[in-house]
Amino acid sequence: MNYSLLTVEILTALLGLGVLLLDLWIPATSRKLLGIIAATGLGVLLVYAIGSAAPGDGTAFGGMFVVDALSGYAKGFFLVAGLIVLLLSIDSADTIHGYAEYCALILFALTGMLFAASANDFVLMFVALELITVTFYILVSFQRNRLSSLEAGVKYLILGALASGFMVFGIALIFGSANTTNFYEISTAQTALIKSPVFLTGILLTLVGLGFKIAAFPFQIWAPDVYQGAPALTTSFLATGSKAAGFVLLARVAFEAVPELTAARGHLFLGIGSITILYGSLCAIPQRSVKRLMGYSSIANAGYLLLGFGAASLAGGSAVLAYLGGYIFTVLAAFIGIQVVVSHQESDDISAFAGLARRSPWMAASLTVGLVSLAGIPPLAGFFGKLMILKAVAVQVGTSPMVILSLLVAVLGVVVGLYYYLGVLRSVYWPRSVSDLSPIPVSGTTKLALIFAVLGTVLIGVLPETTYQGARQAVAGLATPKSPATPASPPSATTQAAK
Amino acid sequence: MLHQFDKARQDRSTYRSECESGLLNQPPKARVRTLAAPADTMSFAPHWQISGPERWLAIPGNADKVTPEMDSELIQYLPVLMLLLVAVGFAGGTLVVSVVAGKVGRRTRTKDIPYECGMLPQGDGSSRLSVKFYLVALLFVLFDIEVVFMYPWAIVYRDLLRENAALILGGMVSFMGTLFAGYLYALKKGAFDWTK
Amino acid sequence: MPEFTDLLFYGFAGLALFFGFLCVANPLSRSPVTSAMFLVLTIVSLAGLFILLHAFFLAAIQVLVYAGAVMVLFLFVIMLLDLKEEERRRFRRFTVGVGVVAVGVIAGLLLQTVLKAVPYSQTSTVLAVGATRPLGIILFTQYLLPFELLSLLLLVAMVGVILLTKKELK
Repeated sequence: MNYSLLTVEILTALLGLGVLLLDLWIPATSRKLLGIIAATGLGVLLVYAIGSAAPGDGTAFGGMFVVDALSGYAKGFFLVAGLIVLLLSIDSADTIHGYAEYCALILFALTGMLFAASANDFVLMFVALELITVTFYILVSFQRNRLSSLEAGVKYLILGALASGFMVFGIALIFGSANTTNFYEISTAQTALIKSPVFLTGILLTLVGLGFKIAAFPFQIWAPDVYQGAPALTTSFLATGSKAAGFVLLARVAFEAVPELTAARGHLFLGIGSITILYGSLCAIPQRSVKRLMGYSSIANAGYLLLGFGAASLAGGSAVLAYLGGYIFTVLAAFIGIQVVVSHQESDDISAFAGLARRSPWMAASLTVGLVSLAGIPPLAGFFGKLMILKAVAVQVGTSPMVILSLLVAVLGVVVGLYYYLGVLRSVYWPRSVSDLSPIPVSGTTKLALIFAVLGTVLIGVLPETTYQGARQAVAGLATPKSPATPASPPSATTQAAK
Repeated sequence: MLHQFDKARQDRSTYRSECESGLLNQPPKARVRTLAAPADTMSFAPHWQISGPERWLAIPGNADKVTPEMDSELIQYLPVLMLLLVAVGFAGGTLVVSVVAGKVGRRTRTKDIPYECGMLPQGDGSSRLSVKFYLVALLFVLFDIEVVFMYPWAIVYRDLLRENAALILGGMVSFMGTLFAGYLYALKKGAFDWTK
Repeated sequence: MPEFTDLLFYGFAGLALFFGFLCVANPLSRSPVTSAMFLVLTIVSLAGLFILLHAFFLAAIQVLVYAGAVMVLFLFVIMLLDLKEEERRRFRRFTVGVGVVAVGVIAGLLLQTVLKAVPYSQTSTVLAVGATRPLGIILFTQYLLPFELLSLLLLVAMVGVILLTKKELK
């Protein structure tokens, strides 16, 4: 077994442990140092992970942990998201009660995401998701003395526990009918398995759990409240890392474990995606709280990503991953602006952003890039992602009336999105009334995070080919042969049954 | 359609070579079957007729010949069931007998309050608990779960030591190490400090 | 004596459903402590089901950890909150309606699954994983990685509970 495949995961977990323990012995005045250590360590890991020093593809733990194109693609984005959030948190080191724990928990959540990216087994998938979710219960309710933070934490906890319950029940049904929890072994027997109603119910219940993570209709109800109540830093990581981990796992289940089912039931994804877009877009219109608005925007974007799954093709899958990569940078760029304003103004109402362009050009630029990209205006990452997804869906026109309907909804979503995203920007550049025009100071670490996020958003938008090729390879690597003619494992009971 | 991708899975050869070398790297199910059936602990009946709920979970043609003989093992738990029945029967029976055979006392409102004379009781008797009890209880549960995992580990430790010593020992050491870090954290943060 | 185990299965399953119902919708008492006690009985019934499935270790854990330790935790929370009768939320007709619909949909889905599933006639796939030794072997070989990840999960829970309950951290 090749343990070097797990190097990045193990080192991230150890970094988290180190930060947690180091805090016990260093004086309280040098908490900031811990954030810098964590961010630096993560930066080194990022260079290692995307550099050539990382081990090549392979599996470990009997096929449970897999390193392939998809895991490599996703891990790069997860590490960048973690790095940006940590960099951003350094400014708040003195105001966050328990800053060392905050850093350590971010790193533990990141460990969960890295394992989720490599999970090739329902059990590992569940444990990795639980690690992410449980960490976020704490990160969401981190500001103990703020009632809305605690309320958001409790809401997230109760709904999250319910979703986990559904998921674990689904996994039990899958194991009961397939006799294995390994994605690859399931894929070799899928033709027989997807005829079994027990297996189908199991997959459905598992998708409920994943649907909660990605805030897809009808499991989206928590998102606005939690996004609004949680500390802005937590929200930024929740909207990127946690959501992306859900989508990467969905991609693995849909495209690796049961691709035949995904192809056969693509219109289901299209339908759910359309409703999700409609719900997110329409509910976002009247919002005054920018964090809440981002919650609804996050729901709408989940809808677009689901449309890519609905296309059930190589192009659709690649579009999903490419969109996801751009989306992470985009949302982080927007949240850097939101975090700085919220921590400075202690309010996330749109009026708090009034005149930001004059108060802090840096933050205004970051927010602008993020929101413009989210709105889908070229040449930023968001535009390219939406274009790819719509293209992948449009190819399927004629196969089902659902396709045309979902395309219409997607276009409507873009139009509505222009309204509410640009509404925030109007307040930033052309405020109705400004009471306070004092400049907002921006620290070096925040600027560094900002440069990463904005650069990512712009680069993916201007040079989409690299990202798209990476995404394409990642999805193509998931493809399994049509029939288990050359089984990788000796035929199990289920594959015998398939013959 | 996805299943028509021409690109074969890249890790297939890796997976296969892993599977073919050594006991630990055998495919999961073969491993289960060889290890899970030590002849001295259980007997197998190949043609055990299954009935009851488990049949719903079967898919057509999913036949697996390894089926444990249910009754010989379950029979060991019969005393537990009997104890359960006796306990419930005794508790319930006592209640019923005391109602049926006992004399019915005179009951009035005044008779039913805790003291027939003196102060009238105030409040509802229960009071709000301090959160520190909860902290201790939760830490107890977490370490309890840790111990739960050590129990099956201790049972299979010797068997697996022969197969892959580093894995079985290292696995538990890293598990305990992580939780020891948690213990250190709790200790230093004063979670066990009852007086504060 | 397969008929006897069948009988036991229906007995324990019926009890689990009955106590579970009383746990969430007890017509006689709305006290959370009563609900918690019925949850204990539900868990014990489930342990009986585990024994019937040959999962003896899980049955023991179910009673020791869930019916024992976790339920104590539940009771602590109930006492911690100490909700008075008048502070509890009343059932609203709308809430009850939505709940009934949700339960109905899930029950319908599961019922449909069970009805559609092909009853399997011959032998069934019972992996001998229930007893402690096979469980240990499978846990520490095939599922070693999730087990390791679990330690991190427990650590996170530990940090979280200390962080959220301690008044001031040292």
